[in-house]
Amino acid sequence: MALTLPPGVSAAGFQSALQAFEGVVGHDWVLATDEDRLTYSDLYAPGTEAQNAPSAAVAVGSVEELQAIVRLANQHKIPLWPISRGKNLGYGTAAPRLPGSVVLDLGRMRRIIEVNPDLGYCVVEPGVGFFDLYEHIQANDIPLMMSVPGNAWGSVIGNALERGIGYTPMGNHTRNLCGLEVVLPDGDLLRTGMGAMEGNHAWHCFPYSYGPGIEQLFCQSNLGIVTKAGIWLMPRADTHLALSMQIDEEGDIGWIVDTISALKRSGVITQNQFVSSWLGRLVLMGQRRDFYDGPGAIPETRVRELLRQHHLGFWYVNIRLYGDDRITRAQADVIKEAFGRHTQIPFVEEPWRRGEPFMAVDPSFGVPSAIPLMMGAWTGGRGAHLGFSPVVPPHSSHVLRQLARSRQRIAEHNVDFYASFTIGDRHINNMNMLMFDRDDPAQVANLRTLFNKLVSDAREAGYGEYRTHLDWMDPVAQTFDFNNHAQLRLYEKLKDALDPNGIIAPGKQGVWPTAYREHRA
Amino acid sequence: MRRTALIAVAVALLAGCTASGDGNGQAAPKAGGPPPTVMPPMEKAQGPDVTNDATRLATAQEGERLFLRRCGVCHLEGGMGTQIIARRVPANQAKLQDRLGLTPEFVIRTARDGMGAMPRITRVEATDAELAAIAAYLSRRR
Repeated sequence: MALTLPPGVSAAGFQSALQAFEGVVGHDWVLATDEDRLTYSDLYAPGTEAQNAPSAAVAVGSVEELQAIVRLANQHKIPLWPISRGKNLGYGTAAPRLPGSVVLDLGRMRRIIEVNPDLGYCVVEPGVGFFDLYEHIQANDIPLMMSVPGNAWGSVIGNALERGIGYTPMGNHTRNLCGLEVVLPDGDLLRTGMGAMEGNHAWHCFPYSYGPGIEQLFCQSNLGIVTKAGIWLMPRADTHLALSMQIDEEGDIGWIVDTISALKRSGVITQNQFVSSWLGRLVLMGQRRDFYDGPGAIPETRVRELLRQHHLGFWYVNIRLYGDDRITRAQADVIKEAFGRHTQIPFVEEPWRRGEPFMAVDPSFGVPSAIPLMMGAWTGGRGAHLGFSPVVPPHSSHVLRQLARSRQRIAEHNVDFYASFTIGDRHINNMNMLMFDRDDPAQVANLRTLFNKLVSDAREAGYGEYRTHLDWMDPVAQTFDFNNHAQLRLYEKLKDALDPNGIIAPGKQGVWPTAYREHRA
Repeated sequence: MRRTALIAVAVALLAGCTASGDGNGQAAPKAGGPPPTVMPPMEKAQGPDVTNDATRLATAQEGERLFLRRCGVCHLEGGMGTQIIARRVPANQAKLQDRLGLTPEFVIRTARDGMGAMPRITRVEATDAELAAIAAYLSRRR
């Protein structure tokens, strides 16, 4: 990939900045070849990768190195795009919002600093992946379990900061953050929460502080670079009981959500509850052409045939209960009774005991896997995906409304429909996975038009996305429009105050520093 | 091997299309869905961590161990890469370790450029020296 210089920086100025970076991290960790730029660009870009092209990457090995790089970036006016492990697949991967930014790769900061089995937390660095932490916990036989996202290749911290989702009782990952260490845009070092007191013993136990809490200011944020975080983990459940059900009719999602939502608020269902449509199962069974070889979305009649043939319902519900059999049996009884008011379909009940095999496709085991990424192979060619994911209240009135709108739009654009609902306590992340072949310009163009409409439709109906791809960071930020975008205006005041040169992740989530504001889409 | 046995059991379960009942005589419907994928315990399959700045840039590293650690997430038994590759290669070659005819150049290009659903691997994830060792290991059966 050819070099795109940072805005306003000359070739000589850029080389001089890279030399200064080398003085901190060494020649081997300033990565500035064409090949390096390619590896840090967005493999799944819905369009050209050039519009999010990195100019180079610099990989720091410690907090001190990171502070030094941030100070140099200020001197040389080089925008940095911090990544933990760069696996934000479907949202931009490792690529920066502003072309020409230098990717600041924290992947070498990969220490597991502490795992506290008594209090149920760990303290890790950003380069620690879900697999690393899992292996550490297993190897040391620590009686804790993790919550993992669908693609667990990425960073534990990065995922929590991006408000990633898991499927255990600790599946709201951003809520598991407790105590951050942050390098600020001027190179200063901050500890949040109780960690603001040197040596405080409750840093990773009490999620607030004395005075205003500021941890969420560093989530989906460009106000600082998180270098350590406490992450809560749940006690390991050595026995589980899973209740699963295939449910045939699309419209059934209304009562499914109402039933699960009530059971969640009353504490009977504890996990972040995932309900997915049939395509979520089919993508694991083969490629699109194995099921349907025509252009456009798979027609309804063929969908019905496929569901029959593969014993799939329209929706798949898989409720996992964790812990002592005596409790999970009682929970199961209550759940069966509640579902029994709507359907005669019996649950498939699968008890599981530690040591028994587990299914890698089921993230509710809390075991990392990259299996769901198989959807990347669905379309053939260089497959990619984009997630349209509005947040809706967990009630049928909202779910059916939002589903009808997005379903209609997706059908109008002749794209395969793959929706899932992850039901939290008082919200749902409604993920609509859109898969496309990057090498087919017509598919890419169609998808971009579709995505724009989905965003504006949702806004019109009163819903917004929780996270989005680089290309829609500005349009989605614009949908948060109360009082002439008062929230965005505040973010940008903070941005300019804390980062006057605007060097940390300009444009992240639509927040632009004055220095680069003309790049807003 | 124990791992193979576990998969065989899981596949047999699916072939019967039954899931375990609840013991109350309730009929379990056909399970449906993808074949169950049983993953081996990773810390055993992948070996100890090999992330050490002091050695990451050194030449002549141990390719097998690096492969297990850096690529094992997707390319061991039951992994995403293994499952996708299984669709287009002879049955006993879906695991990269078992593939015949890989060249070092092909392994390196695939890792850096990506392929199909496989994302690109940066030099922080696998340094040139590490990737060279992995490529040498994977191409040993040419």
